[in-house]
Amino acid sequence: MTMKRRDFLKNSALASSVFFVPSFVKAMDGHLLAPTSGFRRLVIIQLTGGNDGLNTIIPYRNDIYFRSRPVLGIKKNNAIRLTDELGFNENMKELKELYDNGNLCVINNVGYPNPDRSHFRSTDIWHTASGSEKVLNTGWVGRFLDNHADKAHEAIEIGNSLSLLMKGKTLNGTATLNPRLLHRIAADPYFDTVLSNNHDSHLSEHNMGYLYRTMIDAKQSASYIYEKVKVYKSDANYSSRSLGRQLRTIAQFINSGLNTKVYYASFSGFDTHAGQPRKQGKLLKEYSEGISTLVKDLKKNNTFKDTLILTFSEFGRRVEQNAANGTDHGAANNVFVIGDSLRKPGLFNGAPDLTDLDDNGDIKYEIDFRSIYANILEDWLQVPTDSILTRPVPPVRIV
Amino acid sequence: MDVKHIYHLYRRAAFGILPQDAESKTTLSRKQVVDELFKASRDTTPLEIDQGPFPAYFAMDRRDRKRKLGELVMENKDLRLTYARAFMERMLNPIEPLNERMTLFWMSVFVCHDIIPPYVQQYNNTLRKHALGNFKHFTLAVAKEAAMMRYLNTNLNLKGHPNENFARELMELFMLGPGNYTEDDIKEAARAFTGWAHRIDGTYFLRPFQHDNGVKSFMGWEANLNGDDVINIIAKKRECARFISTKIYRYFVNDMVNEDHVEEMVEVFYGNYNIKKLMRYVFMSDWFYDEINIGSKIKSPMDLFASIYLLVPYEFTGEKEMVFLQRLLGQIPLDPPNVAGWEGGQSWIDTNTMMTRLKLPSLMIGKGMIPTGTFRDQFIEVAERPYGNRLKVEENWEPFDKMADGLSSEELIQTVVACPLPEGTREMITQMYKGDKRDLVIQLMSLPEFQLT
Repeated sequence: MTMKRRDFLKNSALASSVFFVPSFVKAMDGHLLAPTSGFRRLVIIQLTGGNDGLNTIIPYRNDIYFRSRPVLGIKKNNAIRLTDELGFNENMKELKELYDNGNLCVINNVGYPNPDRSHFRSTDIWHTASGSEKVLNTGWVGRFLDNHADKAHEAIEIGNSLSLLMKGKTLNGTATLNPRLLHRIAADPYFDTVLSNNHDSHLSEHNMGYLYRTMIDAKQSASYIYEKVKVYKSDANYSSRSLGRQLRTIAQFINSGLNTKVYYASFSGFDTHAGQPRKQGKLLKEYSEGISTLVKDLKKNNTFKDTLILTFSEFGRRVEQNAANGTDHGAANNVFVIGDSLRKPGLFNGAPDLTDLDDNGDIKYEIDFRSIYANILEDWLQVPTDSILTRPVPPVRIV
Repeated sequence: MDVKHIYHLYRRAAFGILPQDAESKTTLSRKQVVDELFKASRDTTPLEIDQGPFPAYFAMDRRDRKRKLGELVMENKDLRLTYARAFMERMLNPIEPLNERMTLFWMSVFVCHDIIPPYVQQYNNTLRKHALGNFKHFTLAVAKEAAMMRYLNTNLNLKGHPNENFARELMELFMLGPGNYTEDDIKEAARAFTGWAHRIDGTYFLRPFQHDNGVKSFMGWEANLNGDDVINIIAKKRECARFISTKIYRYFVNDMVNEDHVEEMVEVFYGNYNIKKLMRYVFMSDWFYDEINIGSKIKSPMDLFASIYLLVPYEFTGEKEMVFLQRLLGQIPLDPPNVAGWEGGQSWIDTNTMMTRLKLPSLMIGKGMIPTGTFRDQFIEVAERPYGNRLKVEENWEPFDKMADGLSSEELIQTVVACPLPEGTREMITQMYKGDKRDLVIQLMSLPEFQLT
């Protein structure tokens, strides 16, 4: 991304005021007062690789489904019943509990016009909230930061590197897997010396400016997160696998009262071109157990009521299975929204219409994903959508 | 040739150059320097390690194989790490520097991953073999690699049940880029690749009964096309030459693309697809040496490792340190993050990787702290290696001491940092410098400026 000189000056001015106080924490006193209750936040989880939605929410009374998937089709008695028509994959019994408690909304057939079947392009489309014809280089969470935040840690990606989703024009989110380590590194006194000696003039340059700005963001976020989180430790029973570890970190951050508004974690492995049943089953089980542990952990700490969890995948998969007992890239898919104050818990809309597929044999979209973003921005995070979504999309009312 | 330009050429086209070697070339013309660079990569030395039980297993008659291949792979997991280390060492001490650099570049184009050690080695050497060869032949060779067929499911692509994975990535990631083909092109191309398979020893063959011999309609052609035809038809598009030229420009010149320069490259590359000719054109162009292109690219993690190693060689003495650091920084050369590979440029840098990069030199070749020339450092708690005992690295200062002896601090700065030092940074460095060149080099390597190449 490019940075305008004005933007840089704004950031470096901010930074230099920080360097002359002995501790970053002191400079951020105001933020420490951020209320832990009534402070709404969003957790975004991407099932990366393209989750097969049809074997997640299974239309087990549909003949076309079984004809298209002679091997992969999941029969009614192997699914968890939701309605006469639809059931969960059997690996998702914890999610069924959330469904029964009214904490889960399943939105079927979510997508966008002229769907792109490339992982990267479609991920970019979901991350930037662009149409498929338009390339944007900021994410929708990044633009939220530009307009409604002033610190990099107000959006945190639990990972080693930062996704486009979290990159704004003037402010990027923070990426970290291990905040303790980040803090120890950032606290080296040499870096204070470097920053106190730099001048604005050369820093408007393309890559050099980006390096300095990221360094400033890193130092600030690292000490903030570290100071806030060091006292709290979650005792909930998360799995030690990748998603479990990420969710544990998210819970620690939330329950420590970080004033972070958006968290993002990517859970990969869903690109099941071959040998799908075992692979997808394992992943869905890990997802279902992980989410359930997270919700219980948040409930125990009274933070669930202020947390909304959005799960999406960059696309669904083809209705017809391939020769390798897998499925190829598809289009529209289901999205999960989990929270305590859903307007319409349960199934938000009907199952996909398998009699009306697109030219590729993929599910057509009924709900534009940006209308879910619009709903979350307006009704959950309570900010106007016009500076974040590039064109007006009428929100659906999920939350 | 100006010493500054020699440094620039070698930072981009190889893995850097030592000051005395750069100095020795200053009497040569640009053409002579570039000729030398290519001459040094005339041959290709494959990277091979002892593949343990695999060669014997592959040579065995099918009926005599008592074990499953998967078991063998699990039991010999270490071979993967051994190969990854050998590859890293090769790049740090390249035999044919330009060729090795090109090999790393092509890994970010022909993205692939496998867990069967001999397939990984075979694939890696195919990249090395064709790195400066003909792009069309290269693409065909890569398409027929066992590792690639497994990675993109070409080996599961059967007549009547086409698997589109390879056909899609061939056009999207290897040859054309999005927007230059249709969904129908993908479906038809997938049919052309049906029946492609490999033997257990990793060699390619066609299963004739699984190959679709029907007429495919692909990019304006209506014929019984096979996989080779598809690659040849794609290469007829000028967009293919543009796609690769743009990738080369971004990687070797500047991540902000100058369309005029790329158009010149397309003119040289299109039709003949001679990679060597194209690279020579780039390194001979005046614009390659424009100020805007010098010290303006963000180093890949591999560049970062190599630029430290060049001046102060180190050795990872623990088993896992190398991969651990590569993972932290976001580039494990034989293990791409996804099918699109590494995005490069600014995407290498975020809050987490930035701080790790800044701290890395002091961890690897220093004592875990960056000298600031003041007394207080010693009393600060963070003055220890933050990765604790996990990071086992042994550094060797001897060559540096010898080399730095004849260099002024100004010359040393030019050797370490690729971009001009901004005024404030220069003042700080000058103030701190008390004559200890080891301290100076660690300080320089711990600057944000050191992240540029």
